[in-house]
Amino acid sequence: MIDWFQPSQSWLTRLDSRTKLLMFLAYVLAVLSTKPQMQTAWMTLSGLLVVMIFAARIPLRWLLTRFTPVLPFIGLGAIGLLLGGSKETFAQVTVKMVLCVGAAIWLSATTPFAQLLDGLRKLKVPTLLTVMLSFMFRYLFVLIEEAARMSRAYQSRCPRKQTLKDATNIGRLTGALMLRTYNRAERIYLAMLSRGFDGEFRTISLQRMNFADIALLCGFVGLLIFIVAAFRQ
Amino acid sequence: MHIPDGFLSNPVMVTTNAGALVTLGAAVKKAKGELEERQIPLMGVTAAFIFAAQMLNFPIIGGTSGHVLGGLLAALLLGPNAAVLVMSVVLIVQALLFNDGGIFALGANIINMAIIGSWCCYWLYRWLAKLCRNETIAVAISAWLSVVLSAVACALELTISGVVPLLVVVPTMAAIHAIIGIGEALVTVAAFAFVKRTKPELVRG
Repeated sequence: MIDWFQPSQSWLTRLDSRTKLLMFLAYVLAVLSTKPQMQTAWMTLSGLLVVMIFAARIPLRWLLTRFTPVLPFIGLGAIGLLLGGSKETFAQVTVKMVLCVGAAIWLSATTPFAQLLDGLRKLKVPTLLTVMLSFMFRYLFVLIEEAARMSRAYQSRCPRKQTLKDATNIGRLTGALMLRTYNRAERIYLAMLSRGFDGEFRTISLQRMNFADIALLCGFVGLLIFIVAAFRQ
Repeated sequence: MHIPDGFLSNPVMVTTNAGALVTLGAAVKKAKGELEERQIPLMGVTAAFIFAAQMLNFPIIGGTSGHVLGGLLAALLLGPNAAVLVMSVVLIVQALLFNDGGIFALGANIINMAIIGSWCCYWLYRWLAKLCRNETIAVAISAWLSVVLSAVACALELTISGVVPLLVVVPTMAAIHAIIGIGEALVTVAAFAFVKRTKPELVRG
């Protein structure tokens, strides 16, 4: 299932995760700093995003499914438009949302989450947070599969499910999942203690910020600043 | 409910991020006082649990299905301060791994779902439990409120950003989530009762 998050390999995959994270943040900031009348800036930024997505060789289907979480918000904006909201606000909000989500998709398509965590650790994000994120990511798929197994077992024994009683049963399943999780967490912790865990992960990191990373990052940020500054009216 | 980047206006974004940072800092400080070292792995795994529990779908009215959001459940099992951290981590992973919710909108999402949906509703639960002396009813009401209040907070942030009119979006969001909240209440009550019956020492209700 983890493969699902790595749809493609490209030269961008081999870059340091910090480079890509900072590029992503810079891009989103650039998009957020545009004003409603800056259509040319939007076009240029969209063009840039398309180039980035092509360079990352992201499959189109994967790209499109990832856009679904924004759809309700575009709908909400459309309702605002129908009820007499200004056209500019709607256009602005929609463009900004699509570009920001596109950049986020680009980041997660080019950067495996484990590398992203490593990058966050090196960027001095608080240890408590990175340790929790690492644990969560490590056990996410284990527990999702556990939940899927429990759900399958339940559905195959209880095919008729149209009542609210079903929610109660799901609640019991959730409770059972919690207990299994707790037992697992306890076992993991004891096993880690016996191997010398002291509250911090020490991993070998093969990622280095080399010349190519720094050059790409500087060039990209420079380009963004240029775009935003040049089209400011 | 996960607000993406670009929807919030810049003042709202700055305010919510600052508010979330301050509150998270306070929660970390408090949680460090009451948690032992062994709780940190537990919190990470619980975050994964909350995520996995959201995979368990149940039908609501008319063929649509809903899932538990788990804010109150996390608080009942870990205590309110740890729960804020757990829910925030869930939101961060949803933003970074699943592109569900924006990075600069994270503050707003943390305020809605972790601080209001988990922390506030935990204290609401404590107050209700004292008031009506019935744990089940208190859990049900505060679980329902945790969904509805998060939705209303989300709607308010969207309104202040000036995209959608107040009188439309707040009632709509509240009405939709009032229905979703029923499922949340039923699931939370059943899960809470189940854990309390089988492993009472785990529960902090």
